[in-house]
Amino acid sequence: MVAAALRDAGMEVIYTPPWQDIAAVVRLAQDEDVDVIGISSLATDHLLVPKLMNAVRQAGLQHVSIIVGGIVPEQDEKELLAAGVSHVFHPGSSMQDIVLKVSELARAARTQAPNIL
Amino acid sequence: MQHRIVTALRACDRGTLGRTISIAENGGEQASQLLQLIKPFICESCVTGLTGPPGSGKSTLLDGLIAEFRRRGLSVAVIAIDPSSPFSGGAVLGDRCRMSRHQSDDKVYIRSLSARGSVGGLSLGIARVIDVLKVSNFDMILLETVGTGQAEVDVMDLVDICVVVCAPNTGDEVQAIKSGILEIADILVVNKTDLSDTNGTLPQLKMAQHLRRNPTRQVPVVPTIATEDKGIEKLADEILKRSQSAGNTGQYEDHAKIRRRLARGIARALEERLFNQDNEMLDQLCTSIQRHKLNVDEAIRIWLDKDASRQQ
Repeated sequence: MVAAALRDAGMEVIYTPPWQDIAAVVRLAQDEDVDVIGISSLATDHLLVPKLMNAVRQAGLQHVSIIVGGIVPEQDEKELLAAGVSHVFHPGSSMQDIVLKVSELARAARTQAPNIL
Repeated sequence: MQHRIVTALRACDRGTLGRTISIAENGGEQASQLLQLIKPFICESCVTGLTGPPGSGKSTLLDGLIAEFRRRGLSVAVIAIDPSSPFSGGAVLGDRCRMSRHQSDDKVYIRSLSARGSVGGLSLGIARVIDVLKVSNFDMILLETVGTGQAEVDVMDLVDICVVVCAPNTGDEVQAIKSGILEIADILVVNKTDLSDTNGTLPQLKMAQHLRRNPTRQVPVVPTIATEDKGIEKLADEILKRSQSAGNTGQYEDHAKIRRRLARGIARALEERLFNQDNEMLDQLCTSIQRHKLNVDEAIRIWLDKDASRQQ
């Protein structure tokens, strides 16, 4: 659903199967030069996100934002945001809001990405 | 002094590879700058293209091929091109899903690219991306594309070895003859041969080859069952055999392909210029066509004659 909405907004979405380990997500973010990582959280998966955040930063991807969607209790949300997650989408979030937020983050990532030339 | 990008690319640094490929894909001033930098360091890697209709099993086959090449100690880079939405230009790129078992392998680099709705621009962008990968000196560069539409067929002019994948009993045999896809194939794969009546498809394809423009060129037909890893070894053998013989003659890219790419590039630049430029004669021709005084064929001839006389 979300992937299709982002596509319809003109974005390129790389879809992966569930249960990726952290190293694999970091590798994918590097290989594909992504701007935003979206984590779909089932049950308590989102508790792994701060670790992912660390790994992403360690790989030198300072410009990449991470967002989380799913059932996330208020206390957990605070922890995620404190760890550097850009936004948490709860069930019932409107597609329009998601698309707006993601394109805003993607644009920011593009301007902050290091110029390697 | 070697630029740090070149050093990083030659060391296969993942972050640099990812970023530079984006720059190459996006084109423009930055891409020209990048290509200028890396030009002296482009290696002679062999590029293999996989094409075929949607659902013929290209991604699964590719996954098997990566594993086979890795077993033989070769490093592999993959470019997977997915179609983009003609309406928004966006895309969901899912080919990577079928190759996820290679995700943590340092000697495998996979990059998904979208066709970005452009008919002409795609092949130019991909050509630049291939140049970047050639600096990293991968043993094998594999390119997967949906084998439909002119843009994708154009992309096949960028590869040294073209593998056409089809599935039996889908009517592809006849379609293949019609679309001319056989003419570009160096190796033909009939995948999903467990789905019965391969006996019909294989001879049909072999027969179809006799209708080719150049029937002396031998095109092997390899039956595979990608989901069971069957036939993959043979396919890898055929690809390597071809890459070695191309390497021996010191000429991966053949002249005709380069000529076609060049002609297409020039045509595209001309089209842009003719469409946007203020030009009295073009305006007059348009008016004449509008008033049915000329048809488009006649107008083209008038323009070309005029152009030829200008050049003399």
